Amino acid sequence: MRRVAVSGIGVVCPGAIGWEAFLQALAAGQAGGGALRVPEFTLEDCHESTHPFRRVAGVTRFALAAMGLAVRDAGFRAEAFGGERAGIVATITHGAVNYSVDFHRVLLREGPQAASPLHFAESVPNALAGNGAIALQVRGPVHTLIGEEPVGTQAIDLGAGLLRAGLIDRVLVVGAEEWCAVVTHAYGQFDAAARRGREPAEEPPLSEGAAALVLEMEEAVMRRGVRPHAVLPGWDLGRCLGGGMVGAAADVVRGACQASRQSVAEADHVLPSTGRHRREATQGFLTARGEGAGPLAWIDLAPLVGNPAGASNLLQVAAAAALTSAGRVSGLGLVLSTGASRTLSAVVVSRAGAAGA
Amino acid sequence: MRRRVAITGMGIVTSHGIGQAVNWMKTVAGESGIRPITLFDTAGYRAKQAGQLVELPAASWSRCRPGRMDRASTLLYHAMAEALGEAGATAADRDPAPVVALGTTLGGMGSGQRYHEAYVRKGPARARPSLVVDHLAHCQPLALMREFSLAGTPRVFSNACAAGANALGYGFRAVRDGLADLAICGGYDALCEFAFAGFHALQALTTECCRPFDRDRSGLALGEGAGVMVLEAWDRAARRGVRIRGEILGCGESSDAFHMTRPGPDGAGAALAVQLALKDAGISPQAVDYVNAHGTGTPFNDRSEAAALGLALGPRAREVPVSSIKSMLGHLLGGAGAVEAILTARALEEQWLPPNLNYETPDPDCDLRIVRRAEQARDLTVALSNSFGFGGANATLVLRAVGRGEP
Repeated sequence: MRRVAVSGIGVVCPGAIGWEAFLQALAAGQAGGGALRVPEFTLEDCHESTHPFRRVAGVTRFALAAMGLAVRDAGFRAEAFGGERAGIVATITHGAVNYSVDFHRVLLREGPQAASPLHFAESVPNALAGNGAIALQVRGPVHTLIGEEPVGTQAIDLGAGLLRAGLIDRVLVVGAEEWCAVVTHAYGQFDAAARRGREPAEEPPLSEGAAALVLEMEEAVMRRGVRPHAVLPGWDLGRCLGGGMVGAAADVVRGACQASRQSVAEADHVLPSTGRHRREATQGFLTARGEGAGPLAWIDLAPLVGNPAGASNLLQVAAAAALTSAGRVSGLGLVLSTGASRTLSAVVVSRAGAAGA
Repeated sequence: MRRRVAITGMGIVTSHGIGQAVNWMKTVAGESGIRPITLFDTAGYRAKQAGQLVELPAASWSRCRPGRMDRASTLLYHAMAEALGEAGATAADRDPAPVVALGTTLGGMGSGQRYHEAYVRKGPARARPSLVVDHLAHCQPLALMREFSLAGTPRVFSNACAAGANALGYGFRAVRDGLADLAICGGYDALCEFAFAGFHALQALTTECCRPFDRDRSGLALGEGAGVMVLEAWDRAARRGVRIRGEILGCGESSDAFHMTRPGPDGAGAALAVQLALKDAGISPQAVDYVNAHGTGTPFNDRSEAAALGLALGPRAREVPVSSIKSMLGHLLGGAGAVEAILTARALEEQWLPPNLNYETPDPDCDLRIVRRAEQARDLTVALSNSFGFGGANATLVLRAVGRGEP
């Protein structure tokens, strides 16, 4: 099967703005300073659209910045990226929840006449994808997928499907999330109820950020004279239906490697999940890999970025692609992602031009 | 590999009731399902009505706790039960993991709203987390998959009002391109005050009746419901001997890239979706016998859609019958595309065109042949179902009647 390449990367996260800064922070082992929030930044520094996105939700700002950075990184001028042959697939878990909360709070306290139309319009889940289409004049398919952390792999799958079907030539997959006190409180309540007196599970805390990847077919990137950061030769998605999460994770890892026509033993670096059930997923990977394989590097993003839910999976893939591009890793990478409902995914990341499918 | 895609099961829930039979009967009779809202207090709102399902029977949950399920899940439950039952797709017949794709705009927002109300009024500590178990939009599909023993991972499209059509398009492509033999797809949204207040704030709600394409149209009515289709590789369906209800021929998707809440006034974005759908189906505009319009009843939307049909269908746009079911059921948001595709499939099957209720005065800016009253059709073979949403999300599906115009 023809391979999908990552030709552009854009990252906006608590530790850094831009993928080079992200890698520096990662190399320095720098935690986001305990911060779960994206630092202040100027949106106009990240994208070239003339449209003023002044009052968009935080999650949309992150996504617009990440998309702008990714498009620039892929060697496109902003006005040249869009058109009918371009698409966007966005992913969220919670979306513009702060605007939803603001809208509803005003509705409760002051009544319907005071509720802001802007807060409603910008809290609709596809607002960030719609604004992205406006910013980049993308006129092809523009989708928003909602799901747990592994939803990023769904976006890659959908985007790759559109590319392989010849419906579009390039697609931005973008995951974004914003931190919200109400959501964090609710998750805390769930976790407390689930523990019932047991030790805390040490789940990475909810955070915020965005990651965008420009995906094209590998040969198309080469024809443009651009060197892809990495290729995504295969991936797999799954859901644990009972039985063990470890076994389900092992199956998904094997599925991703099989789709890539690679052996699990060839993986030399792994990005563990930032979501719930991450320990089981790690165990599943080790089970699938078996004994006797070579040394392995673990690149855990959780200490740096926490868990930006719907953005986390694409942030992991962005990190793996950036590390591959920068030559910090040389072999096959595996990105693991898991969600609270025992959904899971694995994505294989490897060097462009390297052997594979 | 391009395979024919059969519709082997359909399930529908709207303010007209639960099931295809009652929905088709009331639709073709031109009965309005828009009525005074009883789900929440409408004091303070100019509009007071919506397409609310007044008596929603409880779902027979066996694997989920009924008290924790959102109204949206209950709507979806009934639609999915009907669709799977009709397709005869028992667990033994199914793929190990069929494609499941569902569209929604706000998921279980009613649950989120109740949690947040307690959070604000009683304080964070007294807001019960059980209220938000079924809030997030991926929770309803996951619950339904558990309930109906469907393996795999659901794709949850949230492309505003086009979401249901996008989910059907995704399943259609998966089956047609040989990635799956079976796809269970559709869309849903439940009425809740959050959505109603939002459309009220946008001044999009009509205070009288919803009259799409009429010169005096004054806005949309919200509705609620769910629609689910079982899509199956044609040969597989024929081998099983299941009744084939219709065929999906093509899907087109595009973006306006214009404005978050307003459609492009020239209709170019929506026209592209229609053109791509026709190309995907391999048919010409002349072959289109009926258009089930998005037709929300807002001045901007209907004008834009009429322009889009003019661009995409050329002179045929002025001849082909067009109607919007939203005049009867209201706007079902994420459920609209799926419910309307199902009623379009029924129109092809029954050879009847559903009416565009309340259409009285033609609008020169919407130069279309609007179906005022239900019409018996002859040789109704191919129909389009349009869905155009917030954020400029456009999707068009092409459907064909069984036994007509087949290769």
